[in-house]
Amino acid sequence: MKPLSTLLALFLGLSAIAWDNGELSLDSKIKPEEIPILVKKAEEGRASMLEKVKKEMPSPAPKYYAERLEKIEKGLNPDAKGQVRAINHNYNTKQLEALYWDIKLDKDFK
Amino acid sequence: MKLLSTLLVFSLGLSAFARHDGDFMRLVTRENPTPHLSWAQDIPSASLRVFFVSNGQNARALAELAQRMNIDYTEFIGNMGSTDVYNGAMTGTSPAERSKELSDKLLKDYDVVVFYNQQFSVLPSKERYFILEQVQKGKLNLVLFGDWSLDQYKKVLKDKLPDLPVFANQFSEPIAIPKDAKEELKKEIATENSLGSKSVFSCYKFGEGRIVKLKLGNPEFGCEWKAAFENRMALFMQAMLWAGKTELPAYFSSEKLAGNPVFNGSNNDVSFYLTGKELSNVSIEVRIRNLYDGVEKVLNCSAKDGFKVTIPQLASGKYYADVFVKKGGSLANFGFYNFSVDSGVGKISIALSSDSIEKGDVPKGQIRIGKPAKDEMTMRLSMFDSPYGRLWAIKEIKVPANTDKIDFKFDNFYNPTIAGTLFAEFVNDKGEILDRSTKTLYFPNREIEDYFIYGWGANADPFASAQLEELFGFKAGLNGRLPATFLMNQRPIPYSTHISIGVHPKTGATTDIGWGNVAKYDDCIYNPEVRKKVAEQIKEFMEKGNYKKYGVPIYSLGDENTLNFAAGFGPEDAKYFREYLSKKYKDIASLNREWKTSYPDFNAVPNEKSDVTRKAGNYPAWNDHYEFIEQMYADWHAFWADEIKKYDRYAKVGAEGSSAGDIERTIEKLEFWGPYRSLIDSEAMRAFAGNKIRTIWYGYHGERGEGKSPVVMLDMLNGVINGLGWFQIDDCSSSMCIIGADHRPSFPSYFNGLLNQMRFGLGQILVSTPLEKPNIAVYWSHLSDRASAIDKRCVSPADSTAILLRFFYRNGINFDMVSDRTLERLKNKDIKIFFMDGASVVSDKAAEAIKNFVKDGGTVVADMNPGLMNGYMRQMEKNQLSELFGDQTFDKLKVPAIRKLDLDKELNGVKIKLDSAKANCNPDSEFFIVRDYGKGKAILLNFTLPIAEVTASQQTPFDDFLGNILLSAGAPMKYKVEIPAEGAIVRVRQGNGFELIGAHVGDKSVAEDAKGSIKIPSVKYIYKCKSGFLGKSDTIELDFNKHLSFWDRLSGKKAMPLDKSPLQLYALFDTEQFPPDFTVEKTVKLGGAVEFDFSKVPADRTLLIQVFSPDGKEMLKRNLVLNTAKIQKCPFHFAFNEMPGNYKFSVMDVATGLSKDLMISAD
Repeated sequence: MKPLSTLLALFLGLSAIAWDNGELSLDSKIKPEEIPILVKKAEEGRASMLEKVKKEMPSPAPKYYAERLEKIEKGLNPDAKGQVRAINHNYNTKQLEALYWDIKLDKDFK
Repeated sequence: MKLLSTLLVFSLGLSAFARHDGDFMRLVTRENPTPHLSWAQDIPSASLRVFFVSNGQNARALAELAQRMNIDYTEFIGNMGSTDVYNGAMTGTSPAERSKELSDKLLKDYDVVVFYNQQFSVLPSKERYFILEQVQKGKLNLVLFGDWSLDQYKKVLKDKLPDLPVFANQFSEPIAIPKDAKEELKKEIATENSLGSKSVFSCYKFGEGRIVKLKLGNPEFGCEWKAAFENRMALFMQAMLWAGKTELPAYFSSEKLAGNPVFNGSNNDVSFYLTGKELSNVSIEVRIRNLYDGVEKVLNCSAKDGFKVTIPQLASGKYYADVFVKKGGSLANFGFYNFSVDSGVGKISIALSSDSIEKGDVPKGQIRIGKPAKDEMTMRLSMFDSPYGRLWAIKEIKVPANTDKIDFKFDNFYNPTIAGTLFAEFVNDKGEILDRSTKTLYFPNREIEDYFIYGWGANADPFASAQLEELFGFKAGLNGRLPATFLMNQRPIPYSTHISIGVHPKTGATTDIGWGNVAKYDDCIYNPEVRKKVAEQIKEFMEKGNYKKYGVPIYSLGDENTLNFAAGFGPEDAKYFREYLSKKYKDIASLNREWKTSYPDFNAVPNEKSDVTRKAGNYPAWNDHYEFIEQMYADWHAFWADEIKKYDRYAKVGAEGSSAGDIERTIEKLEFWGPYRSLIDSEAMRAFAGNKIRTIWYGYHGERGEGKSPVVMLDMLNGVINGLGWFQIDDCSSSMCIIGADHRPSFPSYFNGLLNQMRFGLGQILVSTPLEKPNIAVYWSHLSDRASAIDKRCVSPADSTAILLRFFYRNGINFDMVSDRTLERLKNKDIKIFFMDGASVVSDKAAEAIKNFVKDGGTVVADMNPGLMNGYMRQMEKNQLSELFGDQTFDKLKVPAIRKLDLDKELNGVKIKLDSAKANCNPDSEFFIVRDYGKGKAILLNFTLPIAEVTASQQTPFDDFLGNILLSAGAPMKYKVEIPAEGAIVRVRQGNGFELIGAHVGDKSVAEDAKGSIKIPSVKYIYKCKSGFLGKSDTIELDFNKHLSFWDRLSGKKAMPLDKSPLQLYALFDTEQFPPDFTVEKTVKLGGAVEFDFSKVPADRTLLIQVFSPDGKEMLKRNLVLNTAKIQKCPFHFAFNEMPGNYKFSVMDVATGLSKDLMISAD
């Protein structure tokens, strides 16, 4: 059962990414050979966003932002109380993106 | 992968299948125009591209704006999405979809982005950044209406314009500070008062872009609301035009009007100053509007007269001067000022003896005049309804010269809504109005109509509530903001508390008893301290709400009220548990006899946990605790009802959508109950609470979708309810709301049409026509139901009763229910047969009544194991009904088992056969044992019905088996029903001189063009309700989706509203019927009334009067449904300010569908 459950977890994670991005619809057909590409794309997206956030972060970093970033980096949900894991990889990237724009808004307009 | 893909397809497929079109929650159309003043529709240069961000409660403002100004809009309504159980089922509401919608819409070009009573911060930071960046670049401009969340971006708002733009000169101070405005706004307006109304604007430059902040809230509803709303729209439009950098061809100002002038006749001239290019062909129109949005005069001026007008003689009071600049015939600019008029009469005030006018009473009081006039005047009293502003009654009283006060009594008045405005106007001998004063009046209406309609929540938006009343007949809703929603003709249903009998998780004590929680750890409701404190809370609630003044149709004690049987074990509980036992058993010897104990007195009786008593086999003790909690639940409802009635003697109190407990006990002292929707419980409600208000909440996702019909049709046919409760009407952004964000209906037209068929006749005839008198009774044993949980040998009453009820339903058989509290029903000689399913508990009293019933010639049928326990739930050594069913006792009884059933008997000359492959039976007993007792018979089936039904052989149909039992008992089936559709139901009612037969099938069957027939005992004149005569026959031919034939179409026949409907109703008469015979005047003066005389129409007929205005539109909220048993003479009033012309009236006898049309000329 192990390969099946791993596959299931991977598949559901990917479909969640696609769903979150609005890419998945009923007629979506993800071919098995596309799975590694999608995973790679998601990981690259997250890494690039993390880099952007770090670059934009003021120094010294305000406590609120620093704590959020720390949680996101650990794969945790920054909006949840305590140590709650983010629902998936993509959600984590979205949180990074939100943090990036929050910092930008503050910096440029506050 | 196969399993995986199946899983995925299944999960996605299910979610996709369950999702409904959510457009109504987030799109604003122009489909629902409303009456409004003209403002800026005709400005050729004012076509703005607007991105409008708001929420469901405020989205209507966009449609209102688009009616008043030529804009090209795109909307984003609501938040960034959620996937909760309600929104998850609607398309376009998930975070991903909302995110995509927003980014797609922001790709378009706009002149202005508007946040209308929606926070800027509702958008994600990325989009907020994008908008601000675009504003800075001058590609977008921003209007913030009622939102301050941009204030945190100080860099954006640093360049506030020191002087307001030129458009601000086109307004003066008329803007009342909203009552609900934040303190900061009140202060700000007060300190910037020198700017007058202009202080509502704050204008900024940000880079190349413009930003306007409009500090405006929603005005409080009342007779001045409409004008205030128009003012807000005018301010809003000008703010958008400036922000959108629209250069208008001309601008104007008026120094005099801008200064809030008071005109007293000495100098009423007003000049305007114009700026702009080429002003030679410019003219000005001044529209003078009163506080109630009525246009008093229109004045014109041009360069010829120096752009000067003279304000005419008007009654004292406040007015608005709407100014329109026209250039070459086209509108060039607009604005409004306010001014006052002092006619010299001084302040006039109305002192009423009461502003709440009960039925039969009239408004009376005294009018006080500040400065008595030297000459005689006329005081004109006028009654306008709220919210529609129709003028229904006028009374004139002469006021002698030098009078400073005058008593009045406004008799013979009429007002159709629950609130109105009394105007007192003073008119001189030239007919000029010198002054006026107003007072709001409340007309409490506690009437519960035959088909009572109410909603969850009351919509506080005047546009929405008018739409809800017109389209669906909603005139009552839970809660409601008083007096605002009351003034919108929405009767309040106070959500008074939320009753529960909860448990403290550690101690088992009763707590969580509703909003009246006291100690929160030991709140037994019998504790005088608890009662005293809650009574004080109820007093405060009633006095604060002032409900008696407004008139409340019903009070709700909560929704989803619950009781927890694990409660009742706290120290306080123990004391009252013993009191309960003492009342129930009277003496300790009786308790010891039933409990098989030897306590010296009640104080020695322990309050033991249920698992202890159950394990010990002390079922009477176990049951007593359950009964104690049920009694507590019932008594707590009763306590609240009694307390509420101390402050409102007319109060009708109950709860909706709640756990029943012991239903008879719970509702005993209540007037209203909403059961959970279930076959047997709902029927019990019908049987034991027929005279109470009964509703179920409808409107959930299950009813949405193409081809879906309202479930209320089915429940009304069954008679389990007598009204419509709709979840919900108060929040137009909700996935459940019956109207959407722009107030168009959120359900398909087929659904809405059927809902209105119920509203206009079908609902009322079903309520007012009682179900046919039954000759069958079914036992409702609450204790037997509970007993089935303690021993596997006790079968549940629900098992066979559900099968039995469905058999009755599909064959048009009516039945009554009998409980231990209604045993006298068995004395009714019409009852021939009595079914008792799973009746393992039979009290001494019930045993006696059942035996007497049989002794007198009745037939009793039990499925399995009746009478094993007495009414205390003690297992008996001798069966309670041994004379009828043999001496079955627990010690001889085995657990039921599945075996083949094969019975072939004859009873009273009737062959009774049933051959079922399987049945749940007593393993060793014979099927179908008949015993004679007195003049009657007792039949013990020794099997339950569910499995036997579905495995019955084709040779011995199950319905024949039950039908033959009925026949043998002298209760033969009257109708032969053949409707080959799953779940088909036929119910028969007995009207005055006609039978009313209704049939219902599921939506799937309607879509598949289900047909069928009902053979009736004799030839009758058959009429389809609300449709007409079908023919003279002994068979009703049913067609649930009637299609017009080619020849029908050719002959011009039109489809009838009920041609496609899951509910078909027929009225059967012995003689031919004719359209309603009535008389009524053919002409009437506006402000007068005609009277329909229906005294020649047979009594107890439901009549529908449809009213069509002179422009041919049906006036839905003016339609009337009445019952001739209650009303023979029915006045119909015309308001003074109603459209003159020929009104068409169509009067239909709902039962026959025959109608008579006539025209009444009103001028």
